[in-house]
Amino acid sequence: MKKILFLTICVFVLAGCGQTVVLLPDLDGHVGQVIVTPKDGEPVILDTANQAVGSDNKLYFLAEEEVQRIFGSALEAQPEPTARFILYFYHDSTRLKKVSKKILPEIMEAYLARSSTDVSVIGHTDGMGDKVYNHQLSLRRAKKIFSFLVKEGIPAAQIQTISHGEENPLIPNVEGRSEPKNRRVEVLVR
Amino acid sequence: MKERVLFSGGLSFSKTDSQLGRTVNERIFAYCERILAHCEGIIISFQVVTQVGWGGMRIRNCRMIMLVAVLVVMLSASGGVAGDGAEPVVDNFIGSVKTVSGEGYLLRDGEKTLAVVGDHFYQGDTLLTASSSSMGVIFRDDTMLSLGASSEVVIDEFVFNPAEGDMSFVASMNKGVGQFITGQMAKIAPERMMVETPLSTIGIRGTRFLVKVD
Repeated sequence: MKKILFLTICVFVLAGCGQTVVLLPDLDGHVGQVIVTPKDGEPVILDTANQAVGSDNKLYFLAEEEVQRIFGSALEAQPEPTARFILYFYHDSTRLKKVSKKILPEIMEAYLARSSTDVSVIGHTDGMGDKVYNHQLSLRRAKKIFSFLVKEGIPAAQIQTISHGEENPLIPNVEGRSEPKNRRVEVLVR
Repeated sequence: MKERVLFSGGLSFSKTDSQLGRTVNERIFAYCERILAHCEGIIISFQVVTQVGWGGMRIRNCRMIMLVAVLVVMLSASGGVAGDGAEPVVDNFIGSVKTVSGEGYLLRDGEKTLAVVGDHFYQGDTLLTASSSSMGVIFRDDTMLSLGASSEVVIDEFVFNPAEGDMSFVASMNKGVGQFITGQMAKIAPERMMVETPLSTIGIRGTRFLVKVD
């Protein structure tokens, strides 16, 4: 009897404080890393696909079927990833390159297809030249694209128009080196 | 006394002093309005002209005021007010609801609203799902979070401003099941991103993981 009571208390106490963390491969197949640090224990690193850690802080592997059984509903609710468009401009200008002009209708298609209410227009620069000037140039480019999208019917409040400057390059920026691929406006449709 | 009034736009008329009154002022007013229609946001100079105009001032003075008004208009226009019209609007929402099956909710300042695809959410909001329900959202750094049934996540902090170096993502997964697929923030500043559970803190160096909290 005592044993049953003890077990009941255990179950009661454990419910509400159990947990499982599982690392899955990224959408592109690459396997990342998460570090699980218990409130009172040593950090545990997960760096292999389907590696898991429970409340007892012990590592194990969770089979695919188990992943589906436990996490199926969350996996199914996964949104379609952000659609990303990159627009290139002529040197030191807000004039779009011809190739990029053709992409503009695709942006609107993606916006409508995914019932989007969140669009980012982000100007980026390379590490070449004056930071402030670059920042303003990429912002002017972004604003131009913003105006186009508003004209096409996207409410202005749904569009975030920003300049990330040199901080979020497509290709790692080397200070002082020209990198045309980083001189771009990125349009993200979520 | 006769006075001839000439404007650079070609509008000209002449009237005697006694006849100078509402009609002339009205014409000046209309002319002003026409100039102003071409430029945006010059309400101050517009008001000056109307007020003085209706007051029945002498034409000479009116012309002076017109000159000032036109100058103000020109200065403002060259200042970059004119453009394509729309200016970027700042809305500090941090993400949007992308999928809902069954009942998903957004809890903000104690108020719970049924979540609909396209809804925006803000820092401090709680995402909730009912039993046999699920919901998926995308943050503005492209982090994706999807919740299974009876789940609750509080978005304690979300700041994504890489140009200023301001970045932070702190979410508390209180119960249920969830999948995180991290976005730009985890690439630029992974150390600023963490998910808290009642038992531990999860630091993220790579992008896709699942959490279950009983």
